[in-house]
This record gives sequence, C-alpha cells and structure tokens, in this order.
Amino acid sequence: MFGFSFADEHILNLVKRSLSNPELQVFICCFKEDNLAEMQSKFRGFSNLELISLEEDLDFNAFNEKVFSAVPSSTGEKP
Amino acid sequence: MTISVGEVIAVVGVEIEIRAFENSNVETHFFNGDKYNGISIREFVSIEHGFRQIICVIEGEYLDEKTADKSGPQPKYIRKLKAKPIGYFEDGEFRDGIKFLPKIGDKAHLLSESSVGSIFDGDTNSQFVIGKLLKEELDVSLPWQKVFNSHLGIFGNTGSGKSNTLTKLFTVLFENKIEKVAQRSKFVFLDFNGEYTGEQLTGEEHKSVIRLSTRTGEADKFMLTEDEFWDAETLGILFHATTNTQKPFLRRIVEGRKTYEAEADGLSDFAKAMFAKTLRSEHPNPEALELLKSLSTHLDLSAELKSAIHNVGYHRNNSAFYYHGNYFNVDDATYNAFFRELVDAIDFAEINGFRELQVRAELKLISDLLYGSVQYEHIQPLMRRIDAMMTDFSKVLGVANDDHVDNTVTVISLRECKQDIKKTIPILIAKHYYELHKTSVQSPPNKTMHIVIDEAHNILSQQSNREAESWKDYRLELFEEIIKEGRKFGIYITISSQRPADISPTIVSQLHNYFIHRLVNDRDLALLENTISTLDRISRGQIPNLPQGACVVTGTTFDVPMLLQIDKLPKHQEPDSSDVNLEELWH
Repeated sequence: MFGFSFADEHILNLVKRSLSNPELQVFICCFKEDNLAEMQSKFRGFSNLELISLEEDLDFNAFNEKVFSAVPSSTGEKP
Repeated sequence: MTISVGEVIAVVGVEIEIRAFENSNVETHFFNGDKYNGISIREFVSIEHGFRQIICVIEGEYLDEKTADKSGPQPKYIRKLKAKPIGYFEDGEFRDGIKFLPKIGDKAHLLSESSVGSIFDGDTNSQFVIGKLLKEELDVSLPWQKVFNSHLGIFGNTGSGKSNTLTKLFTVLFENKIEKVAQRSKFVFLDFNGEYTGEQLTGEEHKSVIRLSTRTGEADKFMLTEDEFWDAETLGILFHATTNTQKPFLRRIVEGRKTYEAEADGLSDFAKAMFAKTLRSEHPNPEALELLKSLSTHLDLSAELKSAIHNVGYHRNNSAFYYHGNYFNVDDATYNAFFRELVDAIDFAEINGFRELQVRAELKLISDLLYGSVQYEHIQPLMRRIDAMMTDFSKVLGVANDDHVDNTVTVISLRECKQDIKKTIPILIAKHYYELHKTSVQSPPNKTMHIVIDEAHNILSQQSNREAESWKDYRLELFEEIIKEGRKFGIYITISSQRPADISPTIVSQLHNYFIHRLVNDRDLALLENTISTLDRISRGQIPNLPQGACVVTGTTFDVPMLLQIDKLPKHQEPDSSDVNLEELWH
C-alpha cells in the first residue's frame, strides 16, 4: 500500500483488526517525521507493528535506498 | 503463547524426536512483534512440559515416509527433527543440565531471540560484552566474575583471531574495572612477539612494559631480588644444572655465600685463601691452577698478580708448579719470594649478580678440588655454561634488592631475545611471580595474580628435541603446579596457542574455560575431544570451519557451548599481529 495516511477510518479499522493476528508483522513508513507521533497514537498497544521514519521526506528513491534494502539505514520503533 | 512448531514423538535415552508441523520450514517467524528463527541445525526449541520449558538444541533433521494405509499410492513425507536437551527454564531462569525429559505429545515451541540470549548469559545486566552470538547476532555479556577466576585457554590457527580475543577480553575488563582491579590484582603478560607493548590493553598509567633484549645491553632488565637469584633452584634453571652433581654444587655455593654474608671482605679473603692454598699445596693440582688463571681474568686484580699467575706452569714429571724456573717447594721459598705480597694485596671492589656467581663458583670449585671432594669433569661443563650464557643473561636479568611495587599490568616483551633465552626466562618470570604471590597471599586469597602467556607452545610444549629431559620436566612441572594448585592462592593462567596438541595434556585439561577458534589439524582436534568435557559434538564439528574472529566458548563457567563472534578492537588497541596488507605493500 502506498500513499495512505490512515485517515480513512474504515480502512484503519480493517488494518487494526488484522493486527490482532499475532503472526502478522506490519511496517509503516511515515512520510514525514511529524507523522510518526500521529501514527504512534493511532496504533498504540500493537506490538507487532513497527513505525519507520526518515529524517527527510519519503519518496520512492529514499524508500528504495534507505528502507527497502538489505542493509536498511533506518530501523523501526514500536508504537 | 509462542509459535508451536512440532510435537514430541519419541524419547530414546536423551535423544528426542520431534515431528515438525507444516509451518516449520520458514526461516523467520513473527509473533506479537517478536522475531523467531525457524528450525534448523543448532537452533533451540523449547518443549513445554508441565510448568517447565525444556530447552533442546536441534542436532539433525530428516524426512520420513508416512506409513499410513489409506494415504494412497503417493507416499507422504513428514519432517522429523532430532534434538538433545541441554537445560530448562524454571521461574524464568535458565538452568543447564538434563534434569527433566519431555514426554511424547509435548509441544515444541520456537524460542524468541531474547530468550536465546538469556540461555547464554544468566545475568544480562552486566556490561562485559566481548562479542556477539555468531548466528543470532545478539550481544552476549560474559560472567566476568567466573571467567577471571579460572584458567583460560585460547586456541586457534594463526590468523584465526586468537590475539584479538585475548586482547579484547582483557581490554574490556580493564575498561570496566581498572580502578577496582588495580589495588587487588596484578596482570603479567608474557609477550613473545612484542604485540602488546603499544597502547593495547590499558592506559599508560596502569601498564609498565619491560622490553628484554639480548641485542643491546641498554634494554630493560627483569629484576630479581638477591634471595631469589641466590637460590640453587633458580641457578639450576638458568644454567641447566644436572640434578645429581651440579645442583648440589650450586647449593654449596649458595650456602657458603650465606654463611659468610656478614663479613665485609668475605669474598676477597676467600680469594686470598684459595690463591695461597693452591700454590702452596703439597699435591699441586693443575686443574685448580687453570681455574685460578681464569678466575684472575674475571676479577679486578693488580696487573702484576695477573701476569705472575699466568706464568706459573705445571711440571708433570715432578708433579710441581714452577715459576720462571723456580719450583714451588714445601719450604714455600718461591711463594714467599714472588707471590705472598701480591696475594696479600688482593682487595677487589664488591661485585654482584652473574659475575659474583662465576667468581664464587670458581673459588668453590678450587676449594673442592683441593679437598678432593669433587670430580672436576662433572662440574666443568657447568662452569662452561655459566661462562657462555652469562653475557646473555646479564643483559636481560638484573639482581637488586629494591622493593618497588609493580604496576597493575606488566608486559614483558621477549621479542628481541635469543631463542634459548626465550625458553628460559619465562620460567624464571613465572616462578618469580608465583613465589612472590604465594608467600604474600592470605587465605582465602585477598589478591590475585594473572599470568597471561601468548604463544604458549613456545614454553609449554610437550616434546622438544633441543633440550634435556630433566630440564623439560622441571619446566612443565612448574607450570603444572601453577595450574593445579594456583587456583587456591588466586593465581590464574591464561594461555593462548596455535598448537594445543603440542602443549602438555595435563595443562590443557586443567584449564577451566576455552575459547576455541578455527583449528584444522587432526591432532589438535583429537586433543580437544579428549580433554574438554564440555564441548559437544556439534560445536566440535564447527571448529574447522569457523570464520575469522569467531570462536566456540565453553568450559565450567558456561552452561552451554556458544559460538561467539568476537568484536574487533579499534586499530590503536589491537595487538601488533595483523596480516600484512600486500595491496598496500606492493602497490
């Protein structure tokens, strides 16, 4: 899923419901650092979800090089 | 609850068979945000058994045909795992040893990475981290309290990372604890190749370096006290004295010195007496005369006496000494005419150390010869050895009664020493520190002494064609005593070697903890198999294929053998033993 801000409640709830499956692991890459706090409050209490944020704004280049690579330069943190 | 991957289907002795579920063949599992490694060899699983979790290590896996009747013409395969229990979790704490065994039907679960970590270090709070688990890449903190009060062995081929491990081990200790360690303990590094003389291990204020060298006379010296030096045993070591004749001779010298210690001119008087006795003897002894001549060159005597004594000859037919045609007769005429004055004037400055030993040995031998209590041929080789080795020894050894206190860390570099000195001096140093510590320690030990020997095969080798049997026995006996009895006095040895098979098996088997790097040679591996009880089959199988810097850590301190990738030290702290970079050298 790309470019989704979890502002749509229906989809947010769907995602939350799926997170109750303990064998699922979800990573969310925030567009800006500011989004991190927002996401943290949205997903509080889910241990199988990791939030990743970069110092710069996220675009496809940054995503490919820094997040979606075998040696990621940023690691996730739990909400 | 965690991920269940199989159930126990057979328990035979301590071998457990587990039928793996369909989902088990995945590399990584996630559960509640924790990462779990899938099943493979050397991975751990926990088997739920009542309130306990029995931890097993996977030793093998294979496929088995299912023999159910109704499965149709296509045979169905199931994956089976062979596992061996290594311990159990009770009240959230890992205990090693097989106390409980699972029953058929018990479920096997994966262990999360954090619980794997807690298998290897019981106490995760301590900060003694020297490396990561090779596979799980978790930092593991070693229980330093139990590592440093044991004898350690670090083995591995050249270039496998031994020196780095040794240095890292002590560097981390000193980084964490130098202030506390400093008052109570001493560390002595015997450094054959001068690898630790720079900034390694710890800062300058806690470390002193003694650079022994046989090339120049100005290098550092290892100081022995007078009592230590004037010890028949020590002298015996230095000059390879034989037990039956030469050692007792040395003992007589030492005793004689002690008896006349109080007298100021004791040695001068002794020399005077020997000159007079030899020349005036009723049974002139040509060997004693030769000794007198050589003695006169070693002493600070007047030139007249020196030339006079060298002109004395022995007339074989008359059995008498002569000097410029005059025979020494019973009436002492020749002696009174030419020698009495010169001999009475003998008075030389105090000498000490090896020169004193040589002079005393010569005087003693003369006196023994005159009294006929010794066979010249038996002692003469010893005199030759003293003469030959004295120059080298006096370059690296000093005799003085100073009571300076050693630094916490003493590095003794033998890099510039000759081969035979390299073999002898370490024994002396080890003896020095062993005796020093043993006599001053209280019971229970209120201080500790740690002797670290890098490249230990140099001095602990079992076979050596170059040296005498008795000498080898003594050398090994000393170290075997330290390693057998030292623990009670708080003396601990750390040895590092690339040829464990060359080191005496008594020593290797008495070590408590082992860091084993890559070893390929059959004999070395066989030795490990026989002497190290805590090393299991799987860990042993991995030793020939370990990458650089990785080692199997096992021993009494560690519940389970673990594979550790030792962190590399920063450039300025690593021992000067790294590989040559040919790209740089041949650019």
